[in-house]
Amino acid sequence: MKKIKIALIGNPNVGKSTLFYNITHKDVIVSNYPGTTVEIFYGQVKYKKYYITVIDLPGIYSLDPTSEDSKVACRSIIEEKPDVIINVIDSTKLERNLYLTLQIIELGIPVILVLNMYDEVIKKGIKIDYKNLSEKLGVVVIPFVASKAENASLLLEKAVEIARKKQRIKTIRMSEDLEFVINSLKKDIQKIKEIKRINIPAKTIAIRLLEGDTLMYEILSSLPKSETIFKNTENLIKKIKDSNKEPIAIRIARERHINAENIFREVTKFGYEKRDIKQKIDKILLQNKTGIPIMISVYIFLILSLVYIGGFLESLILNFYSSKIYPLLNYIFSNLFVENNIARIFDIGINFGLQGILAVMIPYIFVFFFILAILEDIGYLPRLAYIMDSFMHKIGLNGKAVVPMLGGFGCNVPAIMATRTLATRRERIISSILITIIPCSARTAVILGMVGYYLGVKYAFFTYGIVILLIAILGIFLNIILPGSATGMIYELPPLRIPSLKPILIKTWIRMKDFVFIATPILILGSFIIGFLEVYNVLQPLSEYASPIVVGILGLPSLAFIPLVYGFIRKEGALVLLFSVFGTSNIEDFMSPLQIFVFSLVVAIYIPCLATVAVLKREFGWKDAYIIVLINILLAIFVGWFLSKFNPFGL
Amino acid sequence: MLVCHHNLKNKKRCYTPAEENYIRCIYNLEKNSKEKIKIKDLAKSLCLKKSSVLEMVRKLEKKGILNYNKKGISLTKKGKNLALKIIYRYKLAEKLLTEVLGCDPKTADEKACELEHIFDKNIIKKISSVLKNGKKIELEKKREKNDENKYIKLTDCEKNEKYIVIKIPKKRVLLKQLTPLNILPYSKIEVVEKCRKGNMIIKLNNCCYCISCLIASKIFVKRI
Repeated sequence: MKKIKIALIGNPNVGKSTLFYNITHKDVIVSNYPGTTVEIFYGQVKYKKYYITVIDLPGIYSLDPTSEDSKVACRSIIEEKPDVIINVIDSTKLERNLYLTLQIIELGIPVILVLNMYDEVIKKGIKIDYKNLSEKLGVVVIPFVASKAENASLLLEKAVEIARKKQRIKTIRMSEDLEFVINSLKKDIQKIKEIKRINIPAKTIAIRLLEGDTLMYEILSSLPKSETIFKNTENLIKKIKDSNKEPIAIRIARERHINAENIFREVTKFGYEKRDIKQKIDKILLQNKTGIPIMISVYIFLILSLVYIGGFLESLILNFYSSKIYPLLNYIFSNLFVENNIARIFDIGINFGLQGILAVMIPYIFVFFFILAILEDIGYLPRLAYIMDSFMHKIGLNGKAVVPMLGGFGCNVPAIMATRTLATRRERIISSILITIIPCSARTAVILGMVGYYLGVKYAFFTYGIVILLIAILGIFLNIILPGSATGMIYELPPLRIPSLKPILIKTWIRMKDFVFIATPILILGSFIIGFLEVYNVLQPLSEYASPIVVGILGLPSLAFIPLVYGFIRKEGALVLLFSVFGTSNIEDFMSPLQIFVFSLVVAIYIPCLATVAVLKREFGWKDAYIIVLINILLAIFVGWFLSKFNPFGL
Repeated sequence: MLVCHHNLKNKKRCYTPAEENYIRCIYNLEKNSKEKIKIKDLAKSLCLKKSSVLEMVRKLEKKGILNYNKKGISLTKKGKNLALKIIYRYKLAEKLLTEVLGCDPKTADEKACELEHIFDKNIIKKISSVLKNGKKIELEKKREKNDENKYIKLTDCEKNEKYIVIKIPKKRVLLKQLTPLNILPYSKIEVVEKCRKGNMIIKLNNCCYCISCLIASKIFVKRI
């Protein structure tokens, strides 16, 4: 058995993850917007006599990284040392995609070019002579339609074949004076013996250094004598700039684009392209007059469907549970355990716990992820980014940040990871702080399960209104106090696509899996602990300790302290345990409307959940994670105090 | 050699090209290091044997160009003046080759070394006057380029019009994002959509990109 490593590389939103799913059948999120994948995924397949490791990387436009996610991708191309690179290409954008292809070919690793979305090209009446393309580039070219689950074994066959051959690949020549400069630097680089460890041709290193590739500088700086090379590079860059009046980075980029354009012209034949209805819809989505109302109605539709569809599902499941399953489990426990106390613990632990999970969590989480998946697959998110761009500048961000922030309504953890697509650390910090306040689907379940269910839709909207207002105020505040200013964005607009049901359901399921399999045991355990505490009468005295804050400032019943503490582990736990603490799902009997309102708002803001804190620590370090948690706690106490003291909504 | 011989006879030039190269080299070494120059260093940078370098240094010492002792070599005042003259001639030759004749830097560098030795006062005057005119022409071109009134900011563009990119921001962070998308000088772009604040959607190479006003205001274009 031989081992082969294949890396999937390509521009953002060309279908790398779809292809990855096709080859490995591993669950990955696939969407129609650039920047869906922000980390590396590994998948294993056995093919003939080979163990093949497939690596799915975040999309990149060039090998010189511009953000965290692209840095990860560019680094791993060098560090993973793949045997074969599968360069996935969006065939409808061949010319732009070839820029990266030319860069990849310079690396000297065997390349397979996958012309993905080939069906769309045919539909547009464009012909790509892929045999000619293969000859021109000196690599294997395969037309492909990843979304139709085409047979990927052909791809593996080719990969195995060329991995064994270890073919050398030619570099594309640039104009005379550039070649001279490049070669002179190449000679300097070749003098360093340790350069062979990096496994990249010296000429490619020379080109990338001259382009000012930060990653290459980083890698080389660990080698001895690198300083002289950097000095030489600087001199050469200066020399070219003096004689050309144009930075060498622009010149090399242009040379590559010209090469790409020439190849593109020679291999494609254009046909007649008709303007289809999608372009007209796109105009409506993007125009100022219609775009903003559409955006607002999308948001309202999202909340309304959460309230009504989620609420409908909740009452359906709740009725079914309390009439069928609850008595059944109750009966089982009381017969199983002779001792009354243990039966009671089990009753609270499993019965109430399960009820909270099935009835409260699942309906809202499912509805949100389902609608989000539809919006993603249509390709609406980048349009949203465009429309909201100028507003986002005011809170120190740009339109690109809309995408992770909207995802934050689903779950904060992947949303904070998705901020890797943003260009600066400042933007990442601001958007992450704001994301921690955005009510994720767990918190939505708390808000809608309490405010929406007991107080009505109107107050659910108020809750969201307050949260969005807080986000805006906090954003403006952060933009003022943090050094630096908002940077602009350049964001690719993917074509609108008609979503199909199966991928949407798959994606919704992948995202829900985490809730079902990770949250359920944690919540049931929490319920058990509560049951234990209640039965042995420790609950009341324990809550007394925190009553100065819980009762004094927030005006909540002192028992609410326990769910609030547990909410740190899982946010939906706050609601589930509220049921357990009071021993009923009729919260109304124990809390006033104002208390319900304050409780859900406090739960929404007061602290990021454990998983979110962990991801904050991983992305930004302990110090910043602590500061973010502190901001959350103070904000929640202030908002809760303000509402319970002044009761502006007359509850 | 014929040319040099001719020079020597008619224009009272008493230094051979080889000697001039030595003088230039010593001057450059002296400028770049604080310590006195050793024969070894000189031989290394001229790619010659130590013995032949030593011979030449002795010769130049006799002509009063430099002082040579155990500590090393140093140019005399006369030597320094001469070196400056030689370097000026070299630069002139290089400019002549690159700016007027349009050679690339590599050949210009090589040929300028040979060419500089045949220049005399008259030729230098003539070349410098040509170059000055050249500079004038270039300056005018530059002024034209800098005249940003002729080129408009991308934010001032109109919807559904095509433009040629003239200038893009030089900042590394932005440049890195723009270059792979072919948003470079001389690229053609079409403004597809634009909102009042100046955010816009442009199309090139069959791809659409949203661009924030913050970046669009730093890109200059010309209408086609």
